[in-house]
Amino acid sequence: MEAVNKLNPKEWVNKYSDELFGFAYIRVSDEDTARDLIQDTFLSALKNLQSFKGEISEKNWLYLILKNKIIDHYRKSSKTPVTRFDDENELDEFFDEEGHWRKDDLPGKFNMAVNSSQFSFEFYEIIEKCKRKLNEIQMRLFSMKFVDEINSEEICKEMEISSSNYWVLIHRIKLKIRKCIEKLFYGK
Amino acid sequence: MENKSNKKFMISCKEATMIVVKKAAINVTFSERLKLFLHLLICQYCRLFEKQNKIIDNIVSNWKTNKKLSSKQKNALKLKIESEIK
Repeated sequence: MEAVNKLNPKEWVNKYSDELFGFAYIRVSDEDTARDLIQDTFLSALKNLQSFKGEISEKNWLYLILKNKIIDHYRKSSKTPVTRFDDENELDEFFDEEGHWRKDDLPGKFNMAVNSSQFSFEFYEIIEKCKRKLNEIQMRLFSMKFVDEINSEEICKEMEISSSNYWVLIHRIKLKIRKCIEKLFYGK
Repeated sequence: MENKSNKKFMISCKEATMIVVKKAAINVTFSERLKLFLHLLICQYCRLFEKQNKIIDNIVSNWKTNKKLSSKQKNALKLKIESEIK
């Protein structure tokens, strides 16, 4: 018989804290918030030790709790997503009245120097910086869509936005991130 | 009339980039695919955008960070956990 998974709270910090912290950091882009989330995760895990039945590993159990903490965090910070949804005019930052690229925003050749098989941490740091330039809603959407790869219907439901709002947001996020990467990576 | 049909098949960069972004995530309609195809034939910038969009998707879905907690922060967490266990 397989041994049932057991919990050993005294070892949590040594065994999992860095991994959980990195997971949270990628999703919230803020070290203090990520640290708070890890602490909350451990504390609520301790309070719910009896709910652990051992069907999953200790590590996966902690991840599950952390994921819920992240969702709660975003729910709290953007209570009324629809009203805070920015209007479409902001896109004019990238395109002129006829929908052509503005001269300053023409895509340059940032793909030329990037070897897609091995992205360096340096490149991730750049994306992290660019991600911080997004507003709260964009950041949340970005994490759900591109990091967690949740499908669009589910995201719309969770964020209470329509599918057309969703695509406008995704479009803008991509344009912003693209421009920011180009600027930071190549000093354009 | 002519003007109208022009509008139908020749889309702007704004519309084209929107289709690029959608296409990377879901199945777009045949007419959207066709419009995008025609646009990309004549627009090097949107072609570049499409490539870059793929790169971004690729990087982000393999996101790594080397951020770690300091030993001080870890000790604080340990103390907190131990005090809760008691």
